[in-house]
Amino acid sequence: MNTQSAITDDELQTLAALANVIIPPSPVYAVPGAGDLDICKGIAAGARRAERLQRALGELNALADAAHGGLFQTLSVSEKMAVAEQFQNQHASSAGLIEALTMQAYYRDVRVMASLGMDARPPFPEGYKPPEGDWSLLDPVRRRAPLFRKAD
Amino acid sequence: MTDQTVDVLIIGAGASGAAMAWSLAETKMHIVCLEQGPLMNPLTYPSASMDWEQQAAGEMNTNPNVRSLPSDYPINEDESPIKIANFNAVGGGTILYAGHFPRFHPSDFRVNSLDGVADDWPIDYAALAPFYAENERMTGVAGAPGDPAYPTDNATRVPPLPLGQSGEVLAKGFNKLGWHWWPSDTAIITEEYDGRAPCINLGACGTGCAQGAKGSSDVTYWPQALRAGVELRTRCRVREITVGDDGMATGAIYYDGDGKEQRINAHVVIMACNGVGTPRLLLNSKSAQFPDGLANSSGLVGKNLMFHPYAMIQGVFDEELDGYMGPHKAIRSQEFYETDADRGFVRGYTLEIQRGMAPVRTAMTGLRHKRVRWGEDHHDDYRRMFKHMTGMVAVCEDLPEAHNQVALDPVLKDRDGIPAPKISYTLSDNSKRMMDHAVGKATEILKAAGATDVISEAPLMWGGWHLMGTARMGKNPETSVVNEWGRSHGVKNLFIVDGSIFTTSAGVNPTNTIQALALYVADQMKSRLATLFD
Repeated sequence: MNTQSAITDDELQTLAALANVIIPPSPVYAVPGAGDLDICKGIAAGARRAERLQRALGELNALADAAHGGLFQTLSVSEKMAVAEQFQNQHASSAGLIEALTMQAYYRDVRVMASLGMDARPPFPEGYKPPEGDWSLLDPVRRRAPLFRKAD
Repeated sequence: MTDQTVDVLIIGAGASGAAMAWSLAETKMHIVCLEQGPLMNPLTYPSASMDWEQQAAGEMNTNPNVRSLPSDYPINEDESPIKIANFNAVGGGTILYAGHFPRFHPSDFRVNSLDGVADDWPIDYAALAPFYAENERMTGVAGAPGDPAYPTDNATRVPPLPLGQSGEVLAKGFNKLGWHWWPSDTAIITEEYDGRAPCINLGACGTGCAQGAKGSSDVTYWPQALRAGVELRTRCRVREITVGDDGMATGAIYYDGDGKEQRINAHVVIMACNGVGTPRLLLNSKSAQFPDGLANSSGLVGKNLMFHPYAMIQGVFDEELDGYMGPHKAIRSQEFYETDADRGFVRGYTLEIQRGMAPVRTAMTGLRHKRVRWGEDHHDDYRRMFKHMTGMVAVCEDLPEAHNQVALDPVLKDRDGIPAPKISYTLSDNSKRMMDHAVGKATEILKAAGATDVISEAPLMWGGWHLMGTARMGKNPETSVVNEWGRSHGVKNLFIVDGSIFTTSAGVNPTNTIQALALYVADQMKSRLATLFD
């Protein structure tokens, strides 16, 4: 799993601030926010083209600067929420990119998986055991007359 | 450039190329298959990694433009609401397919006679039945006999995939409404089969099966074809099929893994490049004798592209369901498969139940449908959906229309400088009405099963899995590209065996039919060897 990223430390801070807006930490569920450093490095590393992520973060910071005269990570919580909403409306593609990368990194974090009741492991090689289910439910369908059309 | 002559050249090592190679191998002819992608190593598939869902969205994405691997060619799909799904490797699209493996119905071969639309196939269900059976035996299919939606068949089946909690919930919904459902015929083995280990419910079928339980053709046909002497050359991208003065195909020019141009001569050329790749290559094979592309005297190469427009309908339930565990499929319904004039459209669709969703896909679906929000509410929103969703997709029959087509893009080229395909496709009114009907009926099922919320998408933008009709089969050379046994009307040593030869699309996944057709064409060739070019 790649955790290397080409983005700068400043960009990582912007990304972490936005990620925490998207998924904040939750004491109720005992999970970190998506701005957690390990998760955030995963978000950044997930970008197949770093320049697209950098452009998106630049767009976010430009909105923050225009509205409040500073980088996104320096804003108050309410200011961040407002700028993030603006980012979604005005730069939907960029917001969608960061949103997808955030979900991909967050929902594979072992702390998050444990909180969801999952084994913190990849599917292979152990696999899973869903219940077989009650096949007697098929009995009424077995009794049906044929429903295909004859083609002769 | 090297120069070599072989008996048979197969272009493409996917579902149809694999079946064809295996079947022809018994002739002991010198058979070479050129494949532009690599031979995959199942142990490197994403499901062995924590970031498997991220890989599914990137390098193992179903769309070649997103994936953009060296083995991929770009596709201009700006003029299509449905985007192409494929995979370029030994095994082709079966590497990433879900493994649904139904047969066509008898009525699917008689669309014009029964419903007055499109054309009848030049062959019927009975002609393909033995080859369906052979293909199912080679692949390994889970399911159950006795489905009232089909005639009695001669299939070999292992026990069905688990019904699971999701299947139980939905089966109760179907039963409440008195509607048909049945265990899906699925190319995923539930017990050891032909040396392959059974499914362990990874839930990651769409990124390649690390267990080898899914019947992708790299693990079914290819090992046997290679043992029988077929020569497989990977990372070889064909630029054009060459022709001689007599109008017969003479072989192909291709680029090898080092990008070097190579020529191979062949007595027989068989195309197995799928419904986009095959017309692309034929249209790229222009010559003085064939200025409009090879085998294109009818003008129909690339025309009549059919997808299956997909509708996706998901329900949210109070009770906990299977979620990420197990293959996506379990059961299907063909209650609305055959034409009923009262529905306002002709032909019909299959409802394929999708068991549940993995964590990231749950989040993305919730966000896309505004059920999951950014901010403080995210966690509660998400946990209402995670392991609480199940639903289905509707696989809608698409009818052939000449304006839906694969052409050559005037600008876009692949890494080797070969002109790329351009897709032009619009949804017909019939397809739109069919999808609307499917969304309505699926919603009824989900509510009968107890869903508290239902979300839907139609058409599924990334659902261009099934590529059919672009070199259609028929007896009339003016209205079809190949004859009733897969031979090009115009070039008598050129055969096509992939989904492009479908006359109509039916309302089921096509892989079983693609491979059964390849086996049927191979059988026809073997039985006509002395007169193959007459």
